[in-house]
Amino acid sequence: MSSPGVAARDRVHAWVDEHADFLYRYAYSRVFEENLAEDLVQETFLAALQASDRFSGRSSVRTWLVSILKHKVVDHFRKVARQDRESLDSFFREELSEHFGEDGHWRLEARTTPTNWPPEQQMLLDQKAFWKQLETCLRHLPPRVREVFVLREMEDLDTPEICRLLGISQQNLWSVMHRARMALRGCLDVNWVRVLGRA
Amino acid sequence: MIHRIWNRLLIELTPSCERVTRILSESQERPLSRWERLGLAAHYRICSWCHRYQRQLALLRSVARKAGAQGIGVDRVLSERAKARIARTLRDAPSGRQSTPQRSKPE
Repeated sequence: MSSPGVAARDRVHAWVDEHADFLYRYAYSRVFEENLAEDLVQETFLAALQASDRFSGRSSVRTWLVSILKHKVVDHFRKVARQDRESLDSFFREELSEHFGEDGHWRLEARTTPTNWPPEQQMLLDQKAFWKQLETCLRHLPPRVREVFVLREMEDLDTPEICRLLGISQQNLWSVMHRARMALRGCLDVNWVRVLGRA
Repeated sequence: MIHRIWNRLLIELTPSCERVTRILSESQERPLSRWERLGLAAHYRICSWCHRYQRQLALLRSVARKAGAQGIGVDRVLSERAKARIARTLRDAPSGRQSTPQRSKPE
């Protein structure tokens, strides 16, 4: 690898001024830890510096930087998933009995029976507040489960790729996603939609 | 009376709500079989909650994709301290190999 020259360093410094905040938001939205998000952004710029002579300019600088950061995030998730299998396993053991009765149908007395959600446009009317609530709901998920959800729904990776990265079976991935979706929609239902309805 | 018997029959013949929610989640991961689609359609006739659940999952996916693209927290910015640290790391990055970055310390 060739040494990054002065021009390359100046260019990457300019990219920090222009794109660091966006990359930080991108990273934070996935890892939910400020220090870790900062480290991932730093590693992204460092990798960009080392590879700046290979940047072809076919895509925008931001797109290129995001693709580097995405790899850093996925790699981080891969490492922690392989170190910590216990939290995923315990999530599989949890029951969904708080939502359903013995007959397998929704429990009428539970607060989690699905309400009628308004259209997306209305849900996101106060987008800033909505993102805050979504963040709170995502934070309630166990970290390993949240990471699976992030890879599937935010990064749009497909099932085989996530299974390969995290070393889990397809059935386990589906179970995690089912429970993550059940928990998230329940959290938004109680803390956002029902609150909107009362406003 | 016939209506009530018909509904009772549908409750017995269609998958339970717990099973339906699982199928609905899996429908976002794999194509459903004809029987599964038929079971869902019949179940919706007797259960508005599961029908709502289906719409909720679709909306959840849509907002999660938006959150992924835009980043949660529009006013969240990288601290000046972190920017200065990144600038230092870039300046000091040795030539010819990947440097070891300075890590941020938890506050």
